[in-house]
Amino acid sequence: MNNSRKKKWEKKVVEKQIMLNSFKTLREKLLKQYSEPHFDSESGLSKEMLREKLSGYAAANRDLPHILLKANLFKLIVENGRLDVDPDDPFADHLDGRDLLLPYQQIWARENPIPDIAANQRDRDSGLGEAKLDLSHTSPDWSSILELGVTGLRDRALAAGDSDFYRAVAIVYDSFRNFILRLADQARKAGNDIVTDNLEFLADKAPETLYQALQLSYLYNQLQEMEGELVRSQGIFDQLFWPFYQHDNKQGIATDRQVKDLLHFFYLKCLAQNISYGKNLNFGSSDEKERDLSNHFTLLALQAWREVRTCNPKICLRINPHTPASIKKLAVSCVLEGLTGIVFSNDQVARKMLSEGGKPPEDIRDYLLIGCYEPSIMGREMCCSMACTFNFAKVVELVFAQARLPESYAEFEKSYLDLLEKSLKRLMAAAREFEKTWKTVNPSPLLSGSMRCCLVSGRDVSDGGTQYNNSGIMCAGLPDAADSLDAVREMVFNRQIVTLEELKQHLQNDWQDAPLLQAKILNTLPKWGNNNPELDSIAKRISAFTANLINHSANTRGGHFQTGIWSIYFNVNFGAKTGALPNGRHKGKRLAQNLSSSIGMDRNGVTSLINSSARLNHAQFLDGSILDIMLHPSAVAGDRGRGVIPELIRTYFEQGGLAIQFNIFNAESLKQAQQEPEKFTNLQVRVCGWNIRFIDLDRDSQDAFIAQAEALV
Amino acid sequence: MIQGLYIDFKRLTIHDGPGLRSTLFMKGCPLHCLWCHNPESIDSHPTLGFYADKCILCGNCTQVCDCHQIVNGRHLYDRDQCVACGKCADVCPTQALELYGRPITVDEAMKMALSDRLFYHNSGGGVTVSGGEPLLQADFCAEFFERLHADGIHTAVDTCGNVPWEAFVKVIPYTDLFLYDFKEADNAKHREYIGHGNKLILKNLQRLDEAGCAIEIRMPLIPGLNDTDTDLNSAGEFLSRLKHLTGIRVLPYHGYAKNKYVAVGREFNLTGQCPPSADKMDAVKKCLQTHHLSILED
Repeated sequence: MNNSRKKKWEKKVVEKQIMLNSFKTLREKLLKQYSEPHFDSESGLSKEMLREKLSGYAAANRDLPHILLKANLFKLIVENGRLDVDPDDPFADHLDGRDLLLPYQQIWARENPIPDIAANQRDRDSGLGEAKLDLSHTSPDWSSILELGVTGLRDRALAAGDSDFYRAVAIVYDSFRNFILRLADQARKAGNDIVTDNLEFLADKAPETLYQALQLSYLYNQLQEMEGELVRSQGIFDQLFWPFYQHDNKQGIATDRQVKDLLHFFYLKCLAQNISYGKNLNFGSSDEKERDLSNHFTLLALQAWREVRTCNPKICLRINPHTPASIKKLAVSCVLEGLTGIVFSNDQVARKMLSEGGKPPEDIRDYLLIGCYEPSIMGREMCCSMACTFNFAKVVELVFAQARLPESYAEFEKSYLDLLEKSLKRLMAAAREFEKTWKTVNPSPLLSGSMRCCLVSGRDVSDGGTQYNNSGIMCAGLPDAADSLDAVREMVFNRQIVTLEELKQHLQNDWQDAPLLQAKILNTLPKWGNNNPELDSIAKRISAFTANLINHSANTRGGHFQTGIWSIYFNVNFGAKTGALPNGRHKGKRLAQNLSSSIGMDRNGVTSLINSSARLNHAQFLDGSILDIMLHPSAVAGDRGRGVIPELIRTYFEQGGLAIQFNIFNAESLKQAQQEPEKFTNLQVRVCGWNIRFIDLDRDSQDAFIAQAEALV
Repeated sequence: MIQGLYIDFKRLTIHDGPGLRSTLFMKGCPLHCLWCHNPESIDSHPTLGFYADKCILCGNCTQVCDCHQIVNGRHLYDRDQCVACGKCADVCPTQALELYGRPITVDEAMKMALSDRLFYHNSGGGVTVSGGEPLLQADFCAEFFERLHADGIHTAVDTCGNVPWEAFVKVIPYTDLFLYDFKEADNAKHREYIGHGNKLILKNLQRLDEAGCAIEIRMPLIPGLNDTDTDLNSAGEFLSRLKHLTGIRVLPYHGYAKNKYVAVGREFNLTGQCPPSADKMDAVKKCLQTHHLSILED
């Protein structure tokens, strides 16, 4: 394109964008874009015909290496599936038959079971944990994708060498190009000129404008998920898209207002896809010398996020000592408004942690939180952060299940750690077996083709081709385990109120026969999260032992296992399968979430919880850790309240915390708190000169708060 | 070692002085304000709180004390026989029974306070003693504050002022800020609402000011009781003569304490009271400002 044509075209972009500047009216319609697509029947094969075509191809080529077979099946879908381009959507990506590849993954998994699958299933059913093939925690090499574009990626693979792997990569990226051209035609048919122009440009070139870069980013996203790996992270957003913003700015293509509008539509894509785990956008980073790298686009993109007010995408904000006050202030304002989908991550501890995980400073610069909170290097790591899940609390049950019970506390704790080691080793052994099946079950030429490191190694991500090939173990229930060990120490061995044998009976009877002892344990013994040094030291010993064990265990892909101290919703699943515990918890009840106190046991407020959590060595938790802070809007209201969250973050980080997130409760939660007060014992409200627990208020006062919270919306 | 009697130690308090703080609520108060929102603090001896709505009739308490009985599905509590030993509270699974007033040593108070010192340091916060009336236990407060000062921690006393001047003398050397309640300028009205005249309170306030102490005035605003123009102008006149005020904080009345009155077996005599409207709050602040007083906002 010559210069004057380009200018004219770019002017058209702006005009079209202004026309599209009706986000609010289109929002409802576009929210349904994935749930109610309108595929053009003339644009390709029906899903049934496509399915037949795929099975025919697969049957005729059953001897082909899976990576080539997969690449060709991928090609068939993107070149033949029906398309849908909405005339009002500034981005195009809808392809029918995206789900037709997944069955092959399932078939190939069934054909390649791991040797001792029954043991793994037993562990899963008992609530101890489970090993799996984790395909869903990926961050592709967004830098390569945006720098090279699809033909660039294809040509890079062709130039890199001649093997099944490189050929498969070239096949998928070449068909990606054809897909883009098909979509461009469809967009023209729909009268969506601007999308047509963008796509025609992207078919053969790397993106130049922010608009094109965002379009390519989402297109890639859709195709990778079709290939079989969820895109958990859209990358370090403000670093990736900053050059495109600068380009547009220099060319006078778009105002900041228009950029934000475009981002609204982009975020809406994430929301409309309606996948519960959400897309993670990372903001704010720092380089090897700890220089802050945030920029104007950081603010702009965060402001746009605030304006859309969605829970998806979610945000990770990396904090370093030089993060500008404006960015922190904006993020905290979001949290205060109830937009609590932001994880704050501490660059200083992350740096130490990643370095212990064997990563050099130049790579650490590009770390992001993948999925929920798992640190990983963008485009250079398959961290498989949930290769195993593990339940600390269940192991307490195992100690009591032994034929001979321990005779001292020291022996009890040793027995706990022995059983923990045995359990984890079994889970890791199963995870290794799963890893061996990976390249047969889910070769990933598209994802691997994005990654420069795979091109260098000549191997697919499923074959240990990335620079870092680690496997994470999510370890849940640490608070309940520590509380239980402490209760045994105190009640059985120190005070000798009950024997271990009797306690075992009480647990088997789910405390029914010992309500007084249970009440005493619940009410008078220290609990995790209350800044009790003795108790917290148990949690520290358990987690350090676990981290030493896991972090030094090799996987089969040239990497090692990594310890994650978080639970997400597994505190519920695991809790349902965990019997009564010495900490007074009933059978089947949920465990503490992440690093929170076990339910109702948070007695000393959030500063104590922060102090407890900071006692752990978070730099050992290579698969991440997260602290949840629960606050009521009124506890952070007003000018004085505004300062609370930044100080909590700062003080947690100064003491070595890795990541923190906040909950500001709204009216709905308060109503729930009225109905189930036992679950909200740590929800505090400001009534006047201090904070008070919400559940301690009388019904009328609670109703008043609810009314206030409702008025806020 | 001096022992204090306290009700609660709250962390992350942000309205009892600058920054993020902890507040130690002490037991006992010489006044009986009609609107008191900490009725559990009034007696100088321990008090048992019984929250009937939280009771699940488990009967744990009946096994440790005869003051509790479960009869026909109802929990009967004999407050007259109760000495508030707190054994029942220890075994109550739902905190339907709570003991207000536990002994505490300065060492124990220090241990609790120091655990959050980094939060104080980072936010310019510190430790406040409140209550009840903390200066009824002035020796304890003085020693506690002396130790806090030795550790470089900011200290504040939240006081009603109705204590002998000697109590102030004890804490002045170690106190960075006095949060001083000013409820009513008129002596007769003061006696009516609060059960005591205000002469000692006003006198102490003047002496504290003369001693050069930093004072933040806290004025609870109770509609219909102390919110007339006369009330406010007399207050304004008196306060405008003081030299060391950091400002005035007007605290709107709230009725959130009703539950606690029932729990500790006290009568709440201020029924039908509503919080002041936002307009009223603005008018009050404006009125005080005409006396050249600086109003502190949340």
